[in-house]
Amino acid sequence: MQPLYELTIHELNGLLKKKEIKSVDITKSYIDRIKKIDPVINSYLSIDPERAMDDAKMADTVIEKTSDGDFPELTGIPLSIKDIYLMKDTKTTCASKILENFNSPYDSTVIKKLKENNFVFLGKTNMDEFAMGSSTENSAFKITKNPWDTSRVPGGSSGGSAAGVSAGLCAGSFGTDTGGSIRQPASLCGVVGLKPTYGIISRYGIIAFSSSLDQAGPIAKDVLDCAILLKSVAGYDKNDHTSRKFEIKDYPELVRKAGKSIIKGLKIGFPVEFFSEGLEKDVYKKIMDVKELFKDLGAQTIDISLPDTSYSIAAYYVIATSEASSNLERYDGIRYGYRFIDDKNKTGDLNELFVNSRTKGFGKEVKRRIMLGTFALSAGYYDAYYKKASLVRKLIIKNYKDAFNKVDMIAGPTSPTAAFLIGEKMIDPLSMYLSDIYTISINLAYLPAMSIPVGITGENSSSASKLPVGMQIIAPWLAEDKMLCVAKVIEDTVGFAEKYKPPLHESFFDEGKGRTADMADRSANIK
Amino acid sequence: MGKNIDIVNVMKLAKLNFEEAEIAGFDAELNKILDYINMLSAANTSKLEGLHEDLDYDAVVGHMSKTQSIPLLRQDAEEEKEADVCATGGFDFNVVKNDAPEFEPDEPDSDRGYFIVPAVIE
Repeated sequence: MQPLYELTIHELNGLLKKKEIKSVDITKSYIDRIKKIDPVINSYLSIDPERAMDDAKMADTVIEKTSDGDFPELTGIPLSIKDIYLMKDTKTTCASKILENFNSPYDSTVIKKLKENNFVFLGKTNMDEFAMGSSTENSAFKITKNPWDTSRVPGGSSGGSAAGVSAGLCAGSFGTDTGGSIRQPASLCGVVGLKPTYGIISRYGIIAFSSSLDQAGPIAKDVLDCAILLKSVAGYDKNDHTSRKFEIKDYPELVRKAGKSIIKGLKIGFPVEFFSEGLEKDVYKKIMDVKELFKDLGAQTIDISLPDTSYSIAAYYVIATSEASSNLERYDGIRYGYRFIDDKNKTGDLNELFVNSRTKGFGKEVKRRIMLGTFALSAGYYDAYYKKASLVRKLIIKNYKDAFNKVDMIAGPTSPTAAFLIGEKMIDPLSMYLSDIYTISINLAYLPAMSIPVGITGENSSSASKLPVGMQIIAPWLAEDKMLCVAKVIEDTVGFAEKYKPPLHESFFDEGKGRTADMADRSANIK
Repeated sequence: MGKNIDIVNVMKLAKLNFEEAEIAGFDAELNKILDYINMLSAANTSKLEGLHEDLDYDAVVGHMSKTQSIPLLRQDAEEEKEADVCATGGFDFNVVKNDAPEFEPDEPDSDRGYFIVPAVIE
């Protein structure tokens, strides 16, 4: 039998329903796996095995009490959570030194809903500090490795979550996506990631980076799991003033029913701007293979244009940094955790306390973005930068409106390249920003989109790295149901999960046994 | 556009401080990013007004699914406003709790639920 950590949420749920296994068995399997593998991958910032086992026992009690298997699908399922979600009595650091000792005073709405579903909490995952980055290298605490090649990044900012799902360190995870932070790491780690329409998952209790762009979403092993996770947390929340009243569909049920016939007659748009300069050859090839697949399944593939795509990164880095500079004003050295006190020189005024705490507490990329945003909002520059970027955002929305009048769904690559090397883009921030070229405009337009793995690079070469390639599917506003169904058919037809697995061989971990065992002990102590 | 960032001034506004040596690095990086951002001036936005989009999805979703027009920001229903308890705004009171020292006994410094900060007035 396959180890439990390899199974999907829906498979585990099936076994729990039949009472063939217990949640404590699943949870134990994950904890063992984490102790063994995570010292190499560094998916987690904190784990709490005791709490996880307690959650599992509680879930088992719920399962035992229900006779007909009528318990929520997430009952007894071990999940990891990006360290940006507040969860009462756990540390929420946002991978920042400035929040290193910050204890969450309350539950975010997402966590509240997951608790109502009796989920098992494994731990908090690593990320770029304040979700600012595309590689998880901006974490103040550790660098997460890509399970497909540990010399490479897992993407970011939800890199810990994506690497964890990919390496079997959790059954699923929740991340956040401001400019691609769910979809790009999902693509680089060969898993499924979904960024829903702005407003359908409550942002209440999620640490804010850029409030008009931030959106929570699931990262999962397959499309059906993604649908299960989405359904369990979506919905209107009066505590989030950008939350939206809408009809939550039964996404898992729709996905289960989705057959090849749903593709027939669909118009799928391929934006020419997504296939331009900078797109890696193998990525291009894999996306073209899926384009052919769409045709075989009876879809009409149409080349479309999103003419203002080239402005999206520039507009994004004005809007996101402006909002960030304002959102991050609250870290003043007084109200949250970290305060810098100059022991030698106890004088100094309140202003120095602000400046010193922020300067020592924030990492380099965060400071860079606060500076850029402060500049864009400063007197004399507001019209030229913030206002202009907001108007360009309208152009981008119009591009998508026009496109969705012609096609039902849009498809293309999620990221221009497969996973890049650790350190490769850290020297040049702009090159890092450009790696989000295909994902950013979706956030600007409040649209839903997801990434699914469709192939592997370097297939015809013995030396080249074998790295996953993700395809992005973009749907009209609130059409998550249709997007998931299309993704499911492509997933079934491509059969990625059956063909490929990250090369996490047992020997890989045995070789460095001393080091790994030592680190495993350390990580087990993190709490 | 095409202006350079006055690092020292922005640093003050952002309540950050960089060492002399760091300033040069930040200056070069930020101005490179700004050069890139300046491409926005080429975008034709002359026919557009207002900063925020009131998204009307009717025309867009069209044949996909019929939904009502949805404004970007939530419109409060009257009855809901009344139902919300003003005293707490319907929030978990822990959210606005400012006595973090209860959670962190060591720092920030606190006294009887107040934060201790350096003197503002001499």
